[in-house]
Amino acid sequence: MLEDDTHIGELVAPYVLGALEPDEVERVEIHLIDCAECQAMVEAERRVADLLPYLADPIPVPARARRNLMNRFRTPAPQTLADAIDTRSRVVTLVTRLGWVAAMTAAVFALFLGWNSTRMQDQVSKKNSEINVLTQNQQTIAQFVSSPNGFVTSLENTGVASGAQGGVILNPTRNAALLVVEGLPKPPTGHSYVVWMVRGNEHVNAGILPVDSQGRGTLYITPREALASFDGILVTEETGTQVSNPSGTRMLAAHVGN
Amino acid sequence: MDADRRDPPDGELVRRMSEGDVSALEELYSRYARAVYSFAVRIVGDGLVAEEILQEAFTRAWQQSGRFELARGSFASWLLSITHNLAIDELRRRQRRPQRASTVDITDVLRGEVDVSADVEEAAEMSELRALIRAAMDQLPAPQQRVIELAYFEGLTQREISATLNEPLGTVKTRMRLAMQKLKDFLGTEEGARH
Repeated sequence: MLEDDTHIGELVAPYVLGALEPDEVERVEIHLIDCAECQAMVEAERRVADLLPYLADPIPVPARARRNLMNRFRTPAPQTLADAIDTRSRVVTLVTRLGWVAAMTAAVFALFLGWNSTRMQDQVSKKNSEINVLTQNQQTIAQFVSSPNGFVTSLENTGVASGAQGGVILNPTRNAALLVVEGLPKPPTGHSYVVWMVRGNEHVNAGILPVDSQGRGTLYITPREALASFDGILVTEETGTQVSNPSGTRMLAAHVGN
Repeated sequence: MDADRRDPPDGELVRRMSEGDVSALEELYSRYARAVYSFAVRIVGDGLVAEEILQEAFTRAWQQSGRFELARGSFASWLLSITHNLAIDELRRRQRRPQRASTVDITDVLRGEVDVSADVEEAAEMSELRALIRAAMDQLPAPQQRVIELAYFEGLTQREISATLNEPLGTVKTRMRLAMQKLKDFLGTEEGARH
């Protein structure tokens, strides 16, 4: 509802916070087209909203995120039609200059040698890279598990899902934990498994545990607070994802205290 | 709140990015990846999903850099606004279908290397902004803080907040309006005192 016939005062705060219903957003935006006064109000409140992201506790960024992003941009761009025409005209000029017979013979020979050599190199490097990946994966898991303060703990089945089992690998040095489960039934439509970090009577929502058709799921947990400050992990089945306290069925639980 | 004091300024890097300069993108990433990632984690509560949002936010910034206008706000605000939209969309998508969108190599996750450049580049200016907005939020009564958090970090509309808190819609509207007014007054005073 507009504040009065001419301005949108009451709607400015929820508008910049993204808390209006779609029909209200539309009305505000139509009004803003011609109202400099309300545009100024929106700008002033937007400057406040622009600072809200900084309320988030700073978290170190995983190095792989930069690699993955930059890989998107460093792959060779597909050749445009103009580039192709340009390249083609340069090739034609070269062939004319050297004599087409000599050029074609040399090119075919070079291609054969190149292809043969590349094929062998590809096979060798493929094998080497497979071995490297296996070795690195093994080292990574070993390093994570063998961290000086790290440990593995099992998730206790509460008896609701008889086949469910799993464990948690904790690495306090990186303040991270990896929860792995299997045998959990797919949650009913509209339900989801929520993982909680438990400290006494306090429960902190650590995220949704996605479960595949085989009942397997993993969740990498990076709590905002120190891992060591929690004494347990709980998995519950909830009807919403943004619940602030567990109210659904308790499926699995682990003790992670000292 | 002027984040364009560095050398080269953000505006110049955005211009270079719009001309296809990947090194400009990487410089901006070093400056703002941590703020974007932390913000995304705060909203979606999942580090892996936040990583996808981080990459998507910078990809969109790259794609839309030609449309960025420094006169309308800082690059950081623009980038964080893109991040906010992506993260809230993700939150709503997960409410409809709570499954992770893509698979990841778990050993890569376990490797857990931290991007040191992104940490180093996070300027003192960011810490200053963080301290400023925290101080502003701290002076609000808890119920007013709560409506701001539910709206901004959980993507709830006023009606949904009213239902979540079991409070009348009018009360929610009043709290939100008063909260934003107090934040604006506090930040205006602080900003004035800093200049």
